[in-house]
Amino acid sequence: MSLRGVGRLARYDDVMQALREVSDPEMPVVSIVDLGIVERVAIEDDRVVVDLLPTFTGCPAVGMMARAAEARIRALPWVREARAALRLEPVWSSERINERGRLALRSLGVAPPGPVAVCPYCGSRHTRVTAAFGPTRCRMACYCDECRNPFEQMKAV
Amino acid sequence: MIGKGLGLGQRAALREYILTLADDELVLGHRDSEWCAFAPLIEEDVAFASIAQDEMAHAALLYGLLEEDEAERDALAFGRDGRGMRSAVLLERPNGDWAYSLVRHHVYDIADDLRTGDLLESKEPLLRAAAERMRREERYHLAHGRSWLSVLAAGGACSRERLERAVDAVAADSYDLLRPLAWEGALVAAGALPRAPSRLWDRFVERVGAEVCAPLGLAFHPPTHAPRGREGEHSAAMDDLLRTMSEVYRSDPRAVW
Repeated sequence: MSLRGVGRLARYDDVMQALREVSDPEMPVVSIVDLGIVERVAIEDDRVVVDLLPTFTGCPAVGMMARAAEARIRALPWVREARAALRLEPVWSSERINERGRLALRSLGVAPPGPVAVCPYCGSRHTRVTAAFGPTRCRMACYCDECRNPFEQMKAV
Repeated sequence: MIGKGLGLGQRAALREYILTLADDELVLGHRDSEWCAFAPLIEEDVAFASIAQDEMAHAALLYGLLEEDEAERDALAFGRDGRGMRSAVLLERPNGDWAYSLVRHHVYDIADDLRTGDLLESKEPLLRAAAERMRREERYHLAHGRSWLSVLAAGGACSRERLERAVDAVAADSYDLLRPLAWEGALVAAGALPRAPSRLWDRFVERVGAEVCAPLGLAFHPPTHAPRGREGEHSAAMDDLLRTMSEVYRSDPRAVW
């Protein structure tokens, strides 16, 4: 398909929409946009380059997310070339997760990173960290003293 | 790539330094991983395995600063023999008991904390970013070590005796971590580091004394005739470690994963 009729802004929106459909395979409802992993989108005619920031060092999901992002963008009708580049700078921090990402984490039973692990089930702040190293390297194991559910919190880094 | 714009000698020094950082993380990460399924508690099994994974991930990140190509990176990590490894001998020692593994890891983490703290002032942007990235995860390791040390210190006579033995054994090998090396000056001249790593020695001794030994009523007096792992002089334990760690790699170095 030619680029005719697909304006610059429309192309940018297309790419962002495509990236919103790419998620961390461990946390399927949280998009890489909301996790703050997408640092930059560069579009030149029908070529797209996105810069992604790895979260935790050596996270096995990062490569999968990069390939999924490329495939998803390449599927846009006007795109001929798509590349996802991993960049070390700026350094990703859990503060890059936006409000929508925090809500999505809660819906998975994972408390968003922060000084207090707010229970994702009942909203109580009467919680404690039971193990600082949880099922994946980015999560801690917690317990809610109010509703007595175990849950996880994403680590603040 | 790293070291752009530096002269040949300075680039070689930078490569040596990044190798020492990466080899330290890889070798200790491997030893820590040997605790998997043997740690004293199931939660600790998960925790120590995660810590081991973190250290290996840091090694991968650092080797990645030297080699962009994945096969070259693997060759760097798994293709060298003991003479080529730049890690400190302390880190290749067999795990011994839990007290030794824990004290060793924590004392190493203190040295690493000082080292990566200096890297935040590096004029090499990628090295600075890597240090910042790693330090965010190391915070959890330091907290883990501190809490276990206080648990073991309150654990009765047997626990106490093992801790004392561990501190002595770790002290005997510690100087290797921050011994002055020939290429240090070039790193400072290149702006890669604000000061030579060996200049951190006094601060290291002070911190291990205050954070590890003082709460136990012990003193930290590391001798300066420790081994010279950074110069490739390793113990027999290193050969065993490398044989196990690189077994899969050596079975087919060209394999694509």
